[in-house]
Amino acid sequence: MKSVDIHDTLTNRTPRRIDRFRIVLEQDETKDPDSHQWIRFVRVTLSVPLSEKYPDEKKAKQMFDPYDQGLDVSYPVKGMFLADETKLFSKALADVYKHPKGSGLKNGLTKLSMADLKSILVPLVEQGRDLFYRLFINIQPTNYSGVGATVVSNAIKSALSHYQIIYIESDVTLFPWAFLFYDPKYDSSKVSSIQPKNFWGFKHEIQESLKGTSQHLDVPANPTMVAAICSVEDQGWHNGPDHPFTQLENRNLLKRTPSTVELGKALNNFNEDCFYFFGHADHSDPPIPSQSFLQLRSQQLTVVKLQQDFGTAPSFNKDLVVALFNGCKTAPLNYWDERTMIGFLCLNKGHNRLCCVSTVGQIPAVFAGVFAKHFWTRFLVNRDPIGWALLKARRKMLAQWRNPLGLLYSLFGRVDAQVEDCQETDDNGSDL
Amino acid sequence: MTAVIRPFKAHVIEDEESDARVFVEELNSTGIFAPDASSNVSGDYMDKAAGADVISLDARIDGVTGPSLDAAEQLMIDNPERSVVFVTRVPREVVLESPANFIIEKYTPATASYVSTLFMLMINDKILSLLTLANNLLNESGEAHMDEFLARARRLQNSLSESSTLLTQIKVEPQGYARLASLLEAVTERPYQRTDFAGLLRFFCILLLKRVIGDVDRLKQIKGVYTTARLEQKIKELISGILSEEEAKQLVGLDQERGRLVRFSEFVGSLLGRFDARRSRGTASEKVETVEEVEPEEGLITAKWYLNIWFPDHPEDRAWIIIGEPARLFVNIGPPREQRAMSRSAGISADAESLVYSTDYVDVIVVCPGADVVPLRNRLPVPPDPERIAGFEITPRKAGILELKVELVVKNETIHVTPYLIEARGSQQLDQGDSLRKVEPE
Repeated sequence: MKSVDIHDTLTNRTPRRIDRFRIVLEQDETKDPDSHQWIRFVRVTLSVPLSEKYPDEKKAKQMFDPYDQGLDVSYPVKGMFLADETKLFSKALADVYKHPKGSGLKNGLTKLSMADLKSILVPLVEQGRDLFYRLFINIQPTNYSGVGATVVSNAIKSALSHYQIIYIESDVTLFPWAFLFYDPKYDSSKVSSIQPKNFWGFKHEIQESLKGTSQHLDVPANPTMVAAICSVEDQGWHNGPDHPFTQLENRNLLKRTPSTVELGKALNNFNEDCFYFFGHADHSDPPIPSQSFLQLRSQQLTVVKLQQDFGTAPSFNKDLVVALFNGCKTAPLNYWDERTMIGFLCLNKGHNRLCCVSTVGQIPAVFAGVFAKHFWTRFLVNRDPIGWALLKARRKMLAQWRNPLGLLYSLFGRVDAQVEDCQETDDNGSDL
Repeated sequence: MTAVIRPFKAHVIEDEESDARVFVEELNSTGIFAPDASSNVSGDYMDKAAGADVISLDARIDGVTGPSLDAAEQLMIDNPERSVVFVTRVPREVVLESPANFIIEKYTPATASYVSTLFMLMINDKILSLLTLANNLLNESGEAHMDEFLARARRLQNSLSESSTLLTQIKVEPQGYARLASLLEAVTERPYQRTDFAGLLRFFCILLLKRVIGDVDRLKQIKGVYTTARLEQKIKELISGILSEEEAKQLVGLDQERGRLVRFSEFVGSLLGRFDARRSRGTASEKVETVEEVEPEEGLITAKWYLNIWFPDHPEDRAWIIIGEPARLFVNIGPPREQRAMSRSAGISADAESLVYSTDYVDVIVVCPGADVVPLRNRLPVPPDPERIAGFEITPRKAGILELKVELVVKNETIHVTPYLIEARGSQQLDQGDSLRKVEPE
């Protein structure tokens, strides 16, 4: 198991061969030997890639990983229900918006002061830190004991302190993993000690195992795109000579579907490599197909309407379609089924074709427009893997605007989906 | 309030008002059901559901599944002919414990065509119920059972014969159900000698079993329809009860599911030939034509490599493992192994195979809630070598059906999963010798 520096990998444009930090969470139960009552718990199983660059990992590697296979650790976490944890995150997020300084996040894109940013992030930091400690710090491995357990625990802490590609399998899908927070230097009595970059969503690439997403990784060197951009919501954020869409359009690689009818028709027979939606979107909670929609020009395309009016939609003809659903709310937490538009497109006749980034909370239009430009530039122009493009777009919005809402974008698919290198596939040398 | 899907009666029990509204709308659109206004169950299930042929039951009442599970059990005990179908947002909550055979997930294509789905599941339940009775009859005999069997078969045949309007309304292909009605008629209306009945009954059971296996397989293809652990177990019991060991072995093909269907039709054909040769009256030679060939699913049968899972220490007739006792589980990648009670072979898709070949080894991880698994990971070489076996020990902590998953992992990312349901039983049940097969789960 070799540790490869992500930047080297990206520069060399070779497929990434990095081992994932694998997390498997299963709801389970066991009989208490004293009370004979059944106790529910979450079994956590980790596969931790170890890097000799970090002392705690090096020590664990020397003790337990002589054959370079990584560290396998398993332990129970009692009294945990992941679905309930999601609700706590939703509440913490609502508290962020309610904060006196939080209205700026909800309504527009104004640069916050660092002090204000830290102040409004307190509820999320507390919630994220609490869950992180319960899941990964206060643990008693079942397959290690004594000094070994301490070494293992330190190695886990070390590995999660720096960049990882995290792969998660869990009974509870669409969990807000980006909000987990870990910083050993954080002091909860000092707001100033908050370092926002220590949210998982700013530190790691995160891939959740989801049914219905594409297993394929390669997007052709000159990708084509369908862009459904709502003219009511867009204030020119998708134009300009340096916008990747302009470059696509100049080469006739971009097809616009400005109305719900055109969008429905496009989804009915989708031949392009990428899909972009920008506009209002929502779903009820819990979701209902007739109330899960994408909106263009004030017209709603609901799941039910898509089913009824465009009988064969979705019909994606490519093995991999990379999509960004850039609406107010395109996917709810915890619900991965066909009642939401994103679930419907992935799971209903989608035949495992989509790899997409979706929003799991409210995003103001201006933020969404700017975020999308960063994301697509990374993905289409720099040809970064989608997980890396998402991470960089989040970080860019945090650095440039001190705005953490990039955490609300989640990846549904494999982090390594990537536009192929031109040199390998296009002898004419044409490039974006 | 019970509604009528003429000639059947249906009853809908819904806990959530918003869901009830959606279903009511769906049911109204067919003009078949009278929607049940007081569907939220807080009172007596039994009175409300009395006389219903099929009950659509919300699996979660007031936030918990216990009352629904209990109610379903009781409803089915009260009337074995009655079909109960769970309708839920979270099928996994009840898939292992459900006494019912099928679960419908809300807001999927299964509920988009709610009435036809419900109808198809109900008919399947009724055939299963009939087969269970026939299985008892074949193994225990008895005049009373035979009369009951004939009465039930007649009722189902009469109802199906009266269903043509219903089938048109709910847009269900009528041909298959007409054939089923003819088959039932052949058994119930034909003059027969009681001494000859066992042969005819067995022949009839084989045709029905074929139909059930095919139908269940097709129903599984409907998005949002789930089969329960109980159903899978029931089908296994019917196969072992109705067919001899040798005959049952003929059902096993390359793939546990698809292969079985293909080989089954060949097997039924040969059995029919033997039956025709022996029968003294013209019974059902025309029925040979009703046996439909089921084509194998291309991807499965043509898979180059299979993930094989088996318990090497278990005798063929023991299909469970013991609580607290480690059971060895072997895994390899290679050609499909011969199927036994405690084994499974699943084709590895071309996509997964290409990912396997992106490295020089593949990790095997076994996940099994309710059991302890050691080790956490094993490694197999690439290219695959069938001789190389990854060994695990599975130690169940509780009785019941355990949902075991064997995963192939490359660079710590899962690229293939083979699920496998296995039963765990208490150790005291082992001492009961030959009667093991009849021991109920703890």
